[in-house]
Amino acid sequence: MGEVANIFDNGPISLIARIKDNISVYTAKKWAHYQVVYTEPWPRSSPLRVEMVAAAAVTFIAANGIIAKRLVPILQVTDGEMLHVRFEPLDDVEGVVYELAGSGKFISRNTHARVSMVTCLRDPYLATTTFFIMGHQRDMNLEVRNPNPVALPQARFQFFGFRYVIEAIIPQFPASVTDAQKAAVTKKLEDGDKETVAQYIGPTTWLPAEGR
Amino acid sequence: MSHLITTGRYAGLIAKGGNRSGVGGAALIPGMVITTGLGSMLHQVPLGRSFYVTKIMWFNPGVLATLDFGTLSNAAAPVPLFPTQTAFPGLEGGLTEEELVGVEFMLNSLAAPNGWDGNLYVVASIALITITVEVAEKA
Repeated sequence: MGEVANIFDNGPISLIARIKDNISVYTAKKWAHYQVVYTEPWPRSSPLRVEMVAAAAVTFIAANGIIAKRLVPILQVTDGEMLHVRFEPLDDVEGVVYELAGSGKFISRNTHARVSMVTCLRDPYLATTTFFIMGHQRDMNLEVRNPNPVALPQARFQFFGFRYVIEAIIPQFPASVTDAQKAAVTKKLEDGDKETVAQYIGPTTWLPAEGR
Repeated sequence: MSHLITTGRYAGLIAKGGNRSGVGGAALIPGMVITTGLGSMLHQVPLGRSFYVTKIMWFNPGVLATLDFGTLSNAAAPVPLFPTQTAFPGLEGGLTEEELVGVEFMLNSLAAPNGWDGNLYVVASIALITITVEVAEKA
């Protein structure tokens, strides 16, 4: 178990944590700590393929046009589930990822990167397309852009990766610990204080699942 | 798919058919272009990309004709980029990757007459020659 998962290394996708490993996830500006209770692969196959033109109930994506960001139902999970996904477009379109509908993924202050058909030519394992989805109502949204000066009748995206079932870790305190001390520890756990996490959570894999 | 792509001579390219079709290359869907005797567009370069031509095929149902493949200057004048090809009557013809020179088609926004639009055009001496092309785009 690595302290920092090498999830973006340029290699085939692999589990970031094994069963009974702990993961510490940065989400909503604080760290949350979970134990992995189950994992299974999500093999690259037709059910994990989505055709965004059909999903948007239109017949084509216009020349240099956009299909507005929309939910991808195959990527919706329930609470306690986490998806670890990579993806690529199968048609000559670009995918723009949003965490929830409002905040971009793969962004910097001034730009929002996209995943195109060319991405896999320089990054054959699609490591730079890795993202995570955790729990109910935290779905990703996918916007599609057509860089071509011609309309395209389809815009297919293929996803694959791993599914994890996770349980939140509730720190156990001795009876002598006061509420104020518990609150202080909880705060430090949320802050991702390494020593506190080592003491109350144990060895963990730090995971940038959501950069929010 | 073109040998050029499979050997990785230009690694990082997407091979695809030309994206124009119909008479004069007017229609905005990929397919076969039918010449008009004037210029016809065979492939329009997407924004932010450039491309190489990797294959051209044609059939001439008419009389002896010539084909000039190239781009269009920003003054809207044809700019041939390959030598003139002869299209014999009643025969098909073609150019493969090995025969074509590696001209990179890209937008050059310099003012006319120095710039060009980077799209692939053909100027055919007669109408009704059917042409399809294969290109390799680079992002």
